[in-house]
Amino acid sequence: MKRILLFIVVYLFAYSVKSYSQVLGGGEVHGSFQTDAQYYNKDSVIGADEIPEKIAMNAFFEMRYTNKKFEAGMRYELFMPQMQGYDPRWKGNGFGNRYLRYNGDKVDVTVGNFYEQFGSGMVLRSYQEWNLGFDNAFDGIRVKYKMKALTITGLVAKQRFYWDLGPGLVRGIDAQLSVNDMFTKLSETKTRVFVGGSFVSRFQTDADPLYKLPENVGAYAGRFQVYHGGFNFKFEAGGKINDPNATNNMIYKNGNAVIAEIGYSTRGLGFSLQAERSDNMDYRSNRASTGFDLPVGYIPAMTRQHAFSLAAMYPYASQANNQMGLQATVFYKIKKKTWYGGKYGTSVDLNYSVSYDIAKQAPSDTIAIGVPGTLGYASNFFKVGDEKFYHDFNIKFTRKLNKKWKVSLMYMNVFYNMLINEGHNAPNVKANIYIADIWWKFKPYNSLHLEAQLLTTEQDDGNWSSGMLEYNRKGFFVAGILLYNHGISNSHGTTEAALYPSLTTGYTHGATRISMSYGKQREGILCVGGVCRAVPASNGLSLTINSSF
Amino acid sequence: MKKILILLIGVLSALVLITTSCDKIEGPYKETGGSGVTGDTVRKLLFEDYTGHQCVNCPSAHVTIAELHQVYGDRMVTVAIHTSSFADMSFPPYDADYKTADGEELSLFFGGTTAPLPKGMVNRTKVNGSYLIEKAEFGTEVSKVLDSLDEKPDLYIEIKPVFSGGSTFDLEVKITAMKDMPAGKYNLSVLITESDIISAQMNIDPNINNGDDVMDYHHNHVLRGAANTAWGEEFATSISNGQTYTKSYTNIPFDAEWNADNISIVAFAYFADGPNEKSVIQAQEVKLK
Repeated sequence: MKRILLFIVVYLFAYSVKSYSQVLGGGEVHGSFQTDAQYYNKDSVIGADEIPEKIAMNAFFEMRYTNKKFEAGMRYELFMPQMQGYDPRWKGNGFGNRYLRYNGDKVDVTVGNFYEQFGSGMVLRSYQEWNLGFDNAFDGIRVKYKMKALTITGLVAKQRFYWDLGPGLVRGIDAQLSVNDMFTKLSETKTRVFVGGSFVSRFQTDADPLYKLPENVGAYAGRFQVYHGGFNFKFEAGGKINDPNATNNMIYKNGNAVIAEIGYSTRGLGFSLQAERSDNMDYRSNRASTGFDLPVGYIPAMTRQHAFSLAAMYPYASQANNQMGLQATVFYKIKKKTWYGGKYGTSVDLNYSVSYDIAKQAPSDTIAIGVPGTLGYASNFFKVGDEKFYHDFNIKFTRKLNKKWKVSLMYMNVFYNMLINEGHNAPNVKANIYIADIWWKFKPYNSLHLEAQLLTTEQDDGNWSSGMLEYNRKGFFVAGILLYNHGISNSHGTTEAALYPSLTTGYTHGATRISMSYGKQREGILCVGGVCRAVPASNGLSLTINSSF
Repeated sequence: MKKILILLIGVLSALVLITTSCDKIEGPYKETGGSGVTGDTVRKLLFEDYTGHQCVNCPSAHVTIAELHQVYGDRMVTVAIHTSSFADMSFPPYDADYKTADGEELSLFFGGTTAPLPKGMVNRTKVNGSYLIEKAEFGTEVSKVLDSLDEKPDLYIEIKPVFSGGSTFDLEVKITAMKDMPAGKYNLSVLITESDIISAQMNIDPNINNGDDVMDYHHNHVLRGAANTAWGEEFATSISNGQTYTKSYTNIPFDAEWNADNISIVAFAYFADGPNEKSVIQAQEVKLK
């Protein structure tokens, strides 16, 4: 360890006194950048606003320098101002991320910003999602010690909070053991087994005059994974001690969560079944934070993330404090050259997910459920609650008709709890979605892509339909989209019919992509892994450029 | 041998971490007793509550504010600013209009017009880069001012309103410096608030009215307007211990819809420039009659 530290010190010293070319000569530089800009017009029909600056831009440029075992990187970010729908606290510019790393054979040390995940991320996960405007990077120190079968990771850090750091201090330790590598006898077996465990503690001072708050809140998890041929099984269970916070309304109950997955895949067939239960597990480095701010643990949404715009209209937002869910996925390729499979075969992709609340009982005869400053509630682990949060049934058939034509048909049925997913009292949405997606390759490198979608519902904004025609030639594409809201009038209000036309064009060359679009975008919700942000309606010109080197 | 040693050290340090990094709290979980401070010549803070009658999470924030008033009494001067689309006039029973031009001007500056509500603000001072704070931070931030800072105020404010019915009233505000203050501009803001206004409030907190909307909600500390513009006016450019400043306001409009018994006058002094710009130094509240 001393040797490493000495190495870093000497290295840094050398870096500062020697000429750049000598040091840079032996290393490599990689990086990437992205620019998203939008010009906003006011459009009262769809509820789009203009902004005083007229144009908003989000951009980053990151660069990583590696030289043997040494690595250094930084990312400059710019929100001038932030695009609509991104948190206004992003406004500004500067180096949002910088780090130094020594990654040796045994020891891996990082100081500065880093991203880390223990197991599934249940008790610790830091990551960045540029399109969500999400970044909970750690800023501190991380040391990994790698042995043949065992890797131990320790870290002490605070978390990034927009252009600042959160108030809580996070300490964590994780061990990942590869059972096969531990015993030479097992190293050749087909079955591979991994076990792991983590412990994380958050420190935040208590200056609250109303509550006796725990300053150190610990969370722990254990995991187990088995792989055998096409078969896999993953299991992780964790808990958290009393953590009264803004998301659980200051209750003192312990938290717990379980995630289990079983899967099988072989040529032409895939199957997976996942189950999760999460009870009071929202864990953050600031107990007062809500929404996007400062999560330490991560409980994923067990639902499919859809790419078609109307299928993605009602996405599920993961509820770390209260959810019980199941997801099943089957992928099957029907034999080709049969009457039912067609000349090239047909693939069937079936997915179903459902999420409920957990069952809650009053903690005692005298205290109601969820009263701040009490244990909150008691919960039977195996009992499903009464309130449904979400379901999504979707099935997609894809068949290649001949060398030129390919067709996909999809049906989806969704149930969406408004209060849970969007936080306002409105009737829950029940919707059916029908999608047809057709590709036609009419000359080498030339193709047309037609996408037709229909969403029907009697709630929220009513029915939607959408049509898209896209032309592709090598790296170039141009697409016209017509999205139409049929409008609705019911007991909860009236939504006027509205048309959202837009035109997009772009070009990809090597690792660089540039695209531009003009038109109207509907108001909506964008989710990645069950973490969601609202996207306001907009009308204007947008430009995206990204590249990596 | 070396490996075993490393493993042992690892396991031991993990055990130390685990046993020392968990604070198990035993009930009762709530703190008891107030701050025990009495008298008027004490530090008082300005608490701004950004709220709206269509904000379903706002009633639970009002419970927290009420609990803080139980602890700190009138050392906490509260002004509720109804703002953003949550405070829009809507279909009955949400047809009341508690927005004011002055409130909107303040809300626009501090971010209340776009932020998800409820939000609070203590002495117009930033916490982690933001003026607005979450409900779970209310107590901590109030305590930082009232428990951690000197109990003796930097300035002492007296308000003397004169109201004898009719459509206007007069008032006099006297500020006495209790210590020397850094050179710079100082503003005085005078706001009018009304409590116990009864109308509908949306609600989702299961501990209030079983989670249902409340039709006869008591709206307290509602900002009705400013007596000397949204940002007040300058009263000093230098302050030394013992100095007094008096400001008089006459013919302040009194709206016929207001209930004079429930009207309060809130006055506070703040830094109008310098590193603490906008930060409130001392607040005071009196009943109109």
